[in-house]
Amino acid sequence: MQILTFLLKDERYAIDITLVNTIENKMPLTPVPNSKKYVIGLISNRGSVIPVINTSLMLDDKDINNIFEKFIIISIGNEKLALAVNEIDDVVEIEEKNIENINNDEDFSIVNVNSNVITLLTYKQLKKI
Amino acid sequence: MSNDFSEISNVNKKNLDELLHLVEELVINKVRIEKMKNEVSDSSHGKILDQELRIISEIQASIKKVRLIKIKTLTNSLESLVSNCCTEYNINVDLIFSGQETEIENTLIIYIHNILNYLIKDICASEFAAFKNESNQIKVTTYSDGKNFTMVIESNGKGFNYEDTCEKLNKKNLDLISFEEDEVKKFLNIINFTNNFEEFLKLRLDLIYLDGSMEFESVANEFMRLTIIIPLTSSIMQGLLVTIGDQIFAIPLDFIETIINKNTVKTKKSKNIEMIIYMDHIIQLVRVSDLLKIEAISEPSCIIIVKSNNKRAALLVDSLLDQTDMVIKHKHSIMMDIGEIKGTTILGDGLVTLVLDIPSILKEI
Amino acid sequence: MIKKLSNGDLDVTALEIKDVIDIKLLQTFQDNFATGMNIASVTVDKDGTPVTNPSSYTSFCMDFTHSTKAGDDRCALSHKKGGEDAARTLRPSIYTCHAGLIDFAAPILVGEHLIGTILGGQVLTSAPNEAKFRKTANEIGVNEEGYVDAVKKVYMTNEKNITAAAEVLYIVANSLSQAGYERLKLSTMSQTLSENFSQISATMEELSASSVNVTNNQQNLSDEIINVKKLSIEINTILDSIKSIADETKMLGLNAAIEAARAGDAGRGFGVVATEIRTLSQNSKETAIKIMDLTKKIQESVDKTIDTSHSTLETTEQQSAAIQEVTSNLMEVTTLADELNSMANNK
Repeated sequence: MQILTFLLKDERYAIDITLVNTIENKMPLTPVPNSKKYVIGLISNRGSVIPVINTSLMLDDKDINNIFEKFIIISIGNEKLALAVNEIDDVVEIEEKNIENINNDEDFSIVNVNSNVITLLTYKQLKKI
Repeated sequence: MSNDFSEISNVNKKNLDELLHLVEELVINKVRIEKMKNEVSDSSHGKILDQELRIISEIQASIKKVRLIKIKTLTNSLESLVSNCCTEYNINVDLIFSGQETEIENTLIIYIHNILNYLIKDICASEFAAFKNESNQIKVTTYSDGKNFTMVIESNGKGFNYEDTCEKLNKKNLDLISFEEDEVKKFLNIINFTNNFEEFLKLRLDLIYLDGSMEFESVANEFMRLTIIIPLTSSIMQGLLVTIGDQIFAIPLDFIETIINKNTVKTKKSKNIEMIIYMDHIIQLVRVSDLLKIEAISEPSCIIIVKSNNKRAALLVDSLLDQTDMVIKHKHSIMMDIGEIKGTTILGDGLVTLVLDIPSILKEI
Repeated sequence: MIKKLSNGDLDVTALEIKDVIDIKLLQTFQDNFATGMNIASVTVDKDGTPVTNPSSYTSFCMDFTHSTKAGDDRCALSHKKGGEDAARTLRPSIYTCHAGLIDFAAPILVGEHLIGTILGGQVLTSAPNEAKFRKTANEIGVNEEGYVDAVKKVYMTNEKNITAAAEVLYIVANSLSQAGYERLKLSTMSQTLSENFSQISATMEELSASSVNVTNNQQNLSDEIINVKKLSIEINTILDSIKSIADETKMLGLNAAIEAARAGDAGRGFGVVATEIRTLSQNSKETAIKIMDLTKKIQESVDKTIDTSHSTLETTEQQSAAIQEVTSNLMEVTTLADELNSMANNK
């Protein structure tokens, strides 16, 4: 399967490409009052209003206080989300058998690509947002 | 009888939704085009833009019509429901359905269907079954005045004593939307609609969501009438743009009564609740910046008096910007628990603007 | 003849009497002296050619001795010898001429250099020996009786007078010549000075002009360098946009890959294209970065050049100013020299 790899500061992550709609450059967003802490704001993209998620805050609960450069627009169910990331790396092909689950936790998957350990974001994780 | 096929079409709902979505985007661009028209010096360009605007308005109107569906599509289902009730309760009921040509947005049809379903069952069960009338009649009348869709369901069954019921519940009228939940349950108990509380409450919530009303009237032993009014909200509506802090918000014009300057009214404070006195009304002052936890830039002076369901509030905002046409998109599920926000709209400058949910705010304060 | 040596000094050997003494003045003095002292005189140049008219010549000499070629030649010879003696001693010499009269020769000198001789005399210190004169008359071919009569008319004086006369003539003539020489030297020097100054002035003008040229070139160079710097900044701006285009291309490539993946099998070919687009964008980005490094280096070296040329510019501007000053000073001096020259030439 193909995955899209990206960087949050120095950490490498990836996501199944079938979940991805497009990638975009960062754009101005509207903050949402009283929203969940990892919702940075809303953007308008191709006619849709999409919430932008502070990905590192959502995943690790630590705010890396970084300037995000790119958004990965993903589709979960009927709705879209924009994951704010630092850098987009590349689209790579991996074998599903190379995906390992840490502690047999289905939510925590990693895969090894070019001797880089990449955390693979799962559909389940994303659906929780 | 030749079937008039021109009236029937099977439109793939998904395709239709996409089309409607695109039309909504067109409306957003309409605002931009109007702006452009003002900046254009060449009159021939201005004419072209005028044409575009006209075409967009006509598409808007046509699309509105596409979304509309006639009530009579429910006729068959209602008739079979009534006949089932007849069989079940061993009664005879005449269903008189008038105003079947009334058009209603197809999104609302399901609500109407559910309500009718529930009520007819209950009426048959409690009104007729026990009463044993000679001719049981359920009259369903629907009409629309463009702004609201009204459906009156009348039965000539048992009914109930209106004044007594009101007294018991300590209410002036039986508009169930303004009742608290337990009050609704109490009412249903009184009139013996005890079939399925939960379902009724859910229907009530739907109506609240649709910003509609349901009002009971009755004369004992003569009739019982339920009037349901649902506003025909197209998602394209007019709004007022205001600033709160450094952000812009939109308030749907329908809820706005008037706009005044804070300095022109007297204010009162009691127990941390600020109030203003305006035209002999005492209205609670709401600092929207506090509500949204946004830092106000300076001492705000603009008050917008809003009203919904007979409740008023004076919203204090930083400044007024403009009036605009806007397409309100439903809010993303991630914002479901933010009551203050009704939805989002995209203004001419391409930025997302949040639309305040006035009824929700009024309930909060 | 007024001739200048290579070092600018007067060539003394080329000088003649008329260069240093006003002949008219000399003539006047000579005539008056001769009349007053009853002594004949004439001035000759270094070759023996007379430069003045003879003053108070005796009839004896003029009408008789000089009338024949033989007599004339003998006179010339006699004068020459007298002059040579005088020249040798640098003092007036008194001698008896071929015809028997007493003559003197007073040398006119510039320094130690003979420029002419005042010859005079034609007197007797004692009564003439008739027989001698008759002999001479026959030798030179003139009438004996007339010759003897003429000799009797010759003025007779004593040696002291003659010596004194010669001395006076010597002193006066030499004073005149010395003064004249000094004046001439002054004139020559001031002219040389003037000429030199003019030359220097001309040279300074050239220098000034060329230094202005250098300044202009320097300025042009400065302008060009600043132009280069501007260009390199422009290049950098373009490179920035190339980099952002490369970035956009990469995004485009990734989006294409995403679409391709979602299209499944149908998108496989497209996926290949998408990969190539991404490679292309990466290459463009790397190339752009390399060019940016280069332009950065260019800018650095340009900055250095600008510094250097600025200081050069300052130097040449200072030089230019200095040259201007010198030139104006020279002009002042030249004016003075000219004044000096015209003063010297006013005799």
